[in-house]
Amino acid sequence: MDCDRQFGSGRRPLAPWADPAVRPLIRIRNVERRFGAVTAVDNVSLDLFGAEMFCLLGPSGCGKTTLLRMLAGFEPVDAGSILLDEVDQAGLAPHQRQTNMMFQSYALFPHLTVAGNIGFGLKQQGLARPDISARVADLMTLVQIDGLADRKPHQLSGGQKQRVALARALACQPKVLLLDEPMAALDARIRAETQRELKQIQHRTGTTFIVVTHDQSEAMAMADRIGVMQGGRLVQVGTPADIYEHPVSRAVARFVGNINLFEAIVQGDNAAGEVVLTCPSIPCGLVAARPVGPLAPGQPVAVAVRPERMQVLSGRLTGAAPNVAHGVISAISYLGDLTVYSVRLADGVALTVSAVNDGRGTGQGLGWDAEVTVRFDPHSAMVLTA
Amino acid sequence: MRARPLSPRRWDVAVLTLLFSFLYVPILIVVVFSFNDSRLVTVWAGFSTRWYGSLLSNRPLLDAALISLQIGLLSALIATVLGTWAAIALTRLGPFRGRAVLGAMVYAPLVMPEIITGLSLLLLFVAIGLDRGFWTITLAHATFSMCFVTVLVQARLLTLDKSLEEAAQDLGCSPLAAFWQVTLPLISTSVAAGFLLALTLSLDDLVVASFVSGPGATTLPMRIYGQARLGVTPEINAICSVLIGLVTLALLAASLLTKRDFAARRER
Repeated sequence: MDCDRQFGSGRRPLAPWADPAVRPLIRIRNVERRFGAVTAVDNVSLDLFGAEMFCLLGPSGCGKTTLLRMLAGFEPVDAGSILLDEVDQAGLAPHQRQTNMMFQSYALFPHLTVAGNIGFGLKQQGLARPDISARVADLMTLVQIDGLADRKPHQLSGGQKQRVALARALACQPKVLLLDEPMAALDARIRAETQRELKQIQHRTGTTFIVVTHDQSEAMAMADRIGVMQGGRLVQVGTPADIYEHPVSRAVARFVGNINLFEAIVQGDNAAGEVVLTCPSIPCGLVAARPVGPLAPGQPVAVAVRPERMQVLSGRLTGAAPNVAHGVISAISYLGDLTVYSVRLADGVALTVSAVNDGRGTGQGLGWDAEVTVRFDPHSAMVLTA
Repeated sequence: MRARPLSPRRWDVAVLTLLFSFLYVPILIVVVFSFNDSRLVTVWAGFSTRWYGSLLSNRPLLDAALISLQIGLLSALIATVLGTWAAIALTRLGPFRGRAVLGAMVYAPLVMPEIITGLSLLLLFVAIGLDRGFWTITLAHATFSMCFVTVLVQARLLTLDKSLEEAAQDLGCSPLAAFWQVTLPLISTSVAAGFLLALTLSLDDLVVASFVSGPGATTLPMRIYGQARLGVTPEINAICSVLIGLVTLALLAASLLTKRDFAARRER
């Protein structure tokens, strides 16, 4: 593998969504899917680009799998349209589409060998037997399962099954590969490694991957862009950093990563152009970075601060300052690299603060029930209006 | 307590022994007396296979056996095709009009008294003016054994991961191709078991066949019953033993198929 193709450093920045001249590979326009009175997918519009790794992230029942199955052709589109390479997919059966799917259960054919499974799609295309064998061998090398060609699915481990399913779905060189919870059936131990490999394979084949997952850390680790779905709606689309640093709503902020939310009232701006707010939990008020949208004085909003952007200090800090709260430590989780403190404020609000253990002496004086001060910078505080 | 006469375990053995004797001793008697070297059915006069020999020269009995076999194979084939088809409709088409009714109706013939099945089919054949004989028996047998096939295949389909068929379609199979290449190979043992069961039911049937048969179409059970009314001959014992052997083999094969299938699935 070339150095510049290695995952991580040296990777070209991929941002076709930021370039209006790039034509999207898939255009999803106002699609809907209803099951009786329930709207599983509600007015979703989305552009997806070539060679992109896109994660559809959301809790179970949010409609992400339904949207994936609509792309594959297993669910009809009740309203709106899906265009792949400018071709309307309406009325195309699954076998007529240039998408392939990797199923959550893997759906390996139990009566066929590994080679038979991987070559299944190629056989349907009418390829000659030697061509199929050669392509199957290439794919087995790609997913690192050489030597398993004659095994039956029930003779494989979970990780091997997943690789066979991936190779089978890639065999026909689909324009888009749809992956439904690809890591769900794997041990937590091998998940991180498999995420890295999947990302590498996606990069090497240059195929657009759409991954459905409920695991936000998985989405963050793999995706070029994430689409957060809640209640059938696509509530936010952006890079992992966008979603983490600029969530559009309380619900998104809560779903992606850990968050501390303060309910607050807007007062106005200060001299530095920051927003000043009052909050019952914080006596001297809050100062937060200005959000993009307009804010009116008196408007109720939420101020969100990530646990790692807060500082916890032993004892009570004297002197009145904004973004400072006092409380006691109600729980401590020592995770090795981090220590996570649960802090209970005077008015009962519980905060989570994490501290990096970058020296042996860190965490001194921060025991259970210790009185502490929590503080954070204005630019770490996000104002959420929704 | 040494005085306890029978341990619970012994009770189990005793009850089971009684049960199985009740079921199988009469059958055993038939088989044993088929090797009896006497015209009198109940008097043992030494071992002989002469009745099996004379069976081969009993033209009417052999004809009836041949007809039974033809009807059995043909009706089992029809029942298997239709029954499998119905099972797929019930499990794979999703909700459609009349699905619930159809699903319940599949089970009705399983518990329907044969005499009613026979009578109603007879009335139907008379009403539509179908000449009674070989074909009416075949149709009648296919009708009632179809449900057994449906129930067997439906049970297998319900345990089959639907995403297997979706995966086949996703990889370029039309729905029909997906059925031939993925679904059918995976349900084949249940389909085969259904065929064998349908064959056994047809070979075994007397009541329905008596109702819907006509001149020239006498099945083996009908012939045996007819002869037995004139007195049981050792020849009948012999043909019955052959029939018992055939049916046992078919049922054994059917149960082995389902068991092997089950074991293979559990391994996964």
